Amino acid sequence: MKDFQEEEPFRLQADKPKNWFQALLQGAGGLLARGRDAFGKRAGHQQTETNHGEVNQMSNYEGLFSEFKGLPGGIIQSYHTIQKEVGYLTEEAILAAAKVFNVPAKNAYEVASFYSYFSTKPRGKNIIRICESAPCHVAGANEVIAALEQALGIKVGDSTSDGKFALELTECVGQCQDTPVITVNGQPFGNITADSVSEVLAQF
Amino acid sequence: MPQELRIVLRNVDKIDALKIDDYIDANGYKPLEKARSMPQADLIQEIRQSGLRGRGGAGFNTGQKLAFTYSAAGDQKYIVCNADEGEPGTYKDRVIMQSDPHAVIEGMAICGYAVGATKGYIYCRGEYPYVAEILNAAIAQAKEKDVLGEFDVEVCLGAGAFVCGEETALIESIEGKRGEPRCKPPYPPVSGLWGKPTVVANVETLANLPQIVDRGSGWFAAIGAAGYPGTKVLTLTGDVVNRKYIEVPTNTTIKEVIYEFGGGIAGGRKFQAVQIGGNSGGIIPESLLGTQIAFDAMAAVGATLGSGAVFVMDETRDLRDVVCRMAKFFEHESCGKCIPCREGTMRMFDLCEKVGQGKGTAADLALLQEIGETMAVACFCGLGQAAPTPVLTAIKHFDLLAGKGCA
Repeated sequence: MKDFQEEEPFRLQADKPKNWFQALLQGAGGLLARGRDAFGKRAGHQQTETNHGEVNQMSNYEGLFSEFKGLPGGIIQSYHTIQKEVGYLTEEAILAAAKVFNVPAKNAYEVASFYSYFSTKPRGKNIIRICESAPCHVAGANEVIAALEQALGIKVGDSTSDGKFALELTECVGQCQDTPVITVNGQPFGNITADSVSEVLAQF
Repeated sequence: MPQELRIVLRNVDKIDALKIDDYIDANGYKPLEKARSMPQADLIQEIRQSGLRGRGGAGFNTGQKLAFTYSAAGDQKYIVCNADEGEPGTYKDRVIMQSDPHAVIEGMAICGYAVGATKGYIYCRGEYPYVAEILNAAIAQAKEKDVLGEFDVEVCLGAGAFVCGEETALIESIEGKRGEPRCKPPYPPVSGLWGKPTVVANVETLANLPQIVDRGSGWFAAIGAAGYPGTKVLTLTGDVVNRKYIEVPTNTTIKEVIYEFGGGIAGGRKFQAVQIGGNSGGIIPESLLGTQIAFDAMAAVGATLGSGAVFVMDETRDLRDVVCRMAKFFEHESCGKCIPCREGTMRMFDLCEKVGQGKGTAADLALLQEIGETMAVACFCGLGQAAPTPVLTAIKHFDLLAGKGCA
């Protein structure tokens, strides 16, 4: 993937390719493909090819949004749907949402960047989240983090190079009877130990 | 030995949550029928007289909230169920929704009738997609059975923002915006969702309502502590033998919760501290374990009941490390809208890290105290106002520089 200048400013491109997947491959389109998130911050240094689905037409985004069109406040629910299909919120998806829900692009970006569960950069297909809130912390969350980093060969915040896993931290996921807890794609796994990490990973 | 008293958890392990007929056989939706046979003002008065207060942490009288919304002028009104429990160590609302979703929906419909609202939203936290599925299934069944009448309910899935537990931030999120709290007043009963009068109530609060309507305000008011009657669902975590959930009358003491229901401290070790109500709660020393788990009793000792999380720490825990983790939580979850919270949570975390590394000084504690006391009065919403609580109470009751032991 083409490397871009650090100092290149954040701007929306009117003439960008219509196809986010092409853009990603060419490194010529969306900001996200250039290793920057929607706010121009340097995204995770490890670039990942995502393989979430075939939603690669602008029109398909509008298809995904149609379920929520006219639903007041539907933008957040529509982002959930996009993430399920694509894995993260592409620039095109955010701009399409702004259009469909009739809000300024800035507002659509604001929502995309505010919530922890939305990502504006590519990431691995299966999202592993480790709870680091106090009850999990005292139950050994740090050991679980170390074990997961070792098993996957990546650091928290990164994705595996095959695009299979993303590793993230989270606050309490409400399964505190079984601390420490991790979730994979939202599904909780409790009483995790350094030894049981590989058993969980093997399921995905 | 004190016993559990299950009101909102009465159907746990007794009915199939996904079978509405089970719920109906257990007297379900009959309280809603009864409520609808009463004049609205009488229904609200009945709920007010029960003394039921909000179970999400703020402790506001539910009947009073309904009365405000009832009196507010509006062509459309809304009932919003706050199912965004995010306080670390809390999972009570999940248990209620997973085991008895119809009790929550029925509670919403009762509120809807009381205030004249025909639309309700359940704002379910993004961490619980599997709970949202249960709620959606239950709503579909209720519609099919036509038990809700004109009242319509919809589930909104959050996306991982602790601040959305604050009622106006939650409303912003339902409206499809960043979850930042609004300026109050006006409060939601006057101007809430889309500017319309709105009741925002916690899952546990709503699940109490069918029972109160069915059995009467006098029955409920006689349970537990006088100023905060009824039961409270508590979730026990940390260094306690039984990490489980319980529902007990509100005059139960913390000591009974930890030693009778929780089975005491795990591994035969000694008690050091307990934090009640999640990260926003105070850290409580052994000398205060006789306190009742009621809103006012907890407030009287400088602690909070909050969400009802009971996080027990044994003698081996380094409080500097635990408090630092809590400070990091708030630094992460501050929405950034107001400066006292955005800057304050960051500075407190910085200082707590220093203290956590054993490099803290008395001057650092004094600065933490000053920042914390400022945040408690200057922050825009409850998140920032409560954020310093664990640090301030740890300084008050323990030797934080040493990391343990009573001061």
